[in-house]
Amino acid sequence: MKLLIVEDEPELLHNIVSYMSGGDTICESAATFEMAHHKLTGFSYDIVVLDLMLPDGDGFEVLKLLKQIQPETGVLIISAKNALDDKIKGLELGADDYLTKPFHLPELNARLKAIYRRRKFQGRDEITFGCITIHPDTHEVFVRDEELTLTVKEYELLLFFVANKGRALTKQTIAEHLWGDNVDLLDSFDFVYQHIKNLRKKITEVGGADYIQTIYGLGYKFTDRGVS
Amino acid sequence: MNLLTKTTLFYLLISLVAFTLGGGVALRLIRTEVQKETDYSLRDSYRNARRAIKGGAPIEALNTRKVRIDSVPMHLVTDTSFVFADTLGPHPRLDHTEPYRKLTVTKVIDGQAYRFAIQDVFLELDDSYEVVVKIMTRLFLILGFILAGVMFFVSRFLLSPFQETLKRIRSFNVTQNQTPDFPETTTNEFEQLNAFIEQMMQQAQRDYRVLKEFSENASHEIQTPLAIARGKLEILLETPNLDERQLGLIHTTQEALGRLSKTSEALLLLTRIENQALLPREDTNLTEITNHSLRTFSELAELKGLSLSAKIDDDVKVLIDASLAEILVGNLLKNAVRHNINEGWIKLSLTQKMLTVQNTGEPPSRPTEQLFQRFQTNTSSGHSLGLGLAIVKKICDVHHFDLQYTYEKDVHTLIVTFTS
Repeated sequence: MKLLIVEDEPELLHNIVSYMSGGDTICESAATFEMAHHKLTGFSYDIVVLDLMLPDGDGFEVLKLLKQIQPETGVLIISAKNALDDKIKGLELGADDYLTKPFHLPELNARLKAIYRRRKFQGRDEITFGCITIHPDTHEVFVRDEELTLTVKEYELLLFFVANKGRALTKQTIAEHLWGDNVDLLDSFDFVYQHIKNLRKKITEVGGADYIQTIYGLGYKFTDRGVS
Repeated sequence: MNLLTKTTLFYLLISLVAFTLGGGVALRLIRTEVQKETDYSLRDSYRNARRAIKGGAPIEALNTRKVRIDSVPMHLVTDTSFVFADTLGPHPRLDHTEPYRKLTVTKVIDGQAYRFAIQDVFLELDDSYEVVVKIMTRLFLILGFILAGVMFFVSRFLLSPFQETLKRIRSFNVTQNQTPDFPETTTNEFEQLNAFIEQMMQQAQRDYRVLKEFSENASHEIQTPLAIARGKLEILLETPNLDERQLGLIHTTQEALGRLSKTSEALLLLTRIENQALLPREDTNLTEITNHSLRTFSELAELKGLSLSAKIDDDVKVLIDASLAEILVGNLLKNAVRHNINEGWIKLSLTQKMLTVQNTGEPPSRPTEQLFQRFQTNTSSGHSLGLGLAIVKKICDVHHFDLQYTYEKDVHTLIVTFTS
């Protein structure tokens, strides 16, 4: 997956690049409208992560340009403005998703992977992790050949885990992924625990391995390391 | 009582005292003057009688009701000075006595001594008193009328700029951008007052704007460093072989940052609502939004063991910005979920007139109106920011919705009444 991160704040840019880089992902960065313009006309990318507020231009202009010269490239808008108008305008101009600052990097990662999947395979691919196979187009999940009956939240949770495999995820990040802005509810962490317990049970009941590793005091990690 | 009435009454009171004292003085003056005149006229009568006697008139012919002349033996003449005295005498026609002034003198005329006793009716005390009171009352009435007229003129013409100024001060709103126009006035004091008030208003608005901008910018600018810090921690989490203590530290820091971020977001939202940046342009379908919110919260309610029931009318449309409507309904539901008890319930009803959210819960720790203030929260409920209801209140305020919060028999009831 080849990404272009357009973000004027150097530290934020650095955060995204260093979190996303590695594995099969290549990150390039642009800190200004000018640089973004230059890179987009010269190279092709799978997804552009676009900050709407740029020092020398409007992020929407980058989006328009991109849709002209690289219509097959996915776009994820990040903006500090949580105005509904920006979101609607961005999506109307052809952006795939919209994320408001501040966001969790695992959240960005999961969304980018979802865009990538939709763009690349129109969702008709399979995601495989160990003995688990997920069909994103039909929302079906199989452990070996056994189909799992998951609730919507359990499915979302599993997808989030797989997208962030091998990464430590805090309860807060997971809770915010599942319930969005409403997670400042006191008990949401218990809810996360409930869902994880159920998901874990459903996977292991049909003979699947327990990939969900509990990190005490922090959260969880989805990994096949140390799983027999 | 307004200033003018007060001044008038005070003035009249002072006048009353002055008129009473003046009346006393006038009475005295009149009496002295009348006495002097009476005495003069008595002397005059005496001189006439004396002239008549010198002319050879017989004293019997000179005696009248008022003048009485007796001849006295010479050896009895000891004192020839005039003696005036007040005395009482019979009224000429009526059957009662009257005050008289009497002059008694013994004089020797052409070798014969005469005793003159001349008296005349003296001005009655009652009469002079009556006259003075009459005069003073009339003067007082005239003064009162003039005063009323003057006050009317003053309030109508002189003080009207002041009334206008008061009217403008009353309608002044610090959140608005323009200061009221003060009418021109030719009175220096009012001109100074207006200038001063206008300056004060502008200053207040400037300060308010600066404060507003500051809080908006501060909330806004806080988000970027927060995002950076949160990202760094997430990258730090990727470090292999972190021990439990280190993970715990990262987690706690992340939680604190999350809380800070939520607080500043909520404050920013409050400021934006206050600035009326999100004024509605068209009706929003509250039925849709409420149903959507219910779906989000039904799961959270269920996980908490709460039963959630709703009665929602079709096609409820209210003039409110869609994102604010979402926040309004969301915050009310969030509040009902958070401040609930085990095995409690939440009831929501939506009609074209009002939105009602009822839930079971512990009694509020402070009066319910106070819970609309910022950072006021029922302390038992942990992580609550105490901004949820403040935001609800602010949204209701800018849309002129009525918001009621009551607590009765373990049930909290929040009612938003829409204005059509």
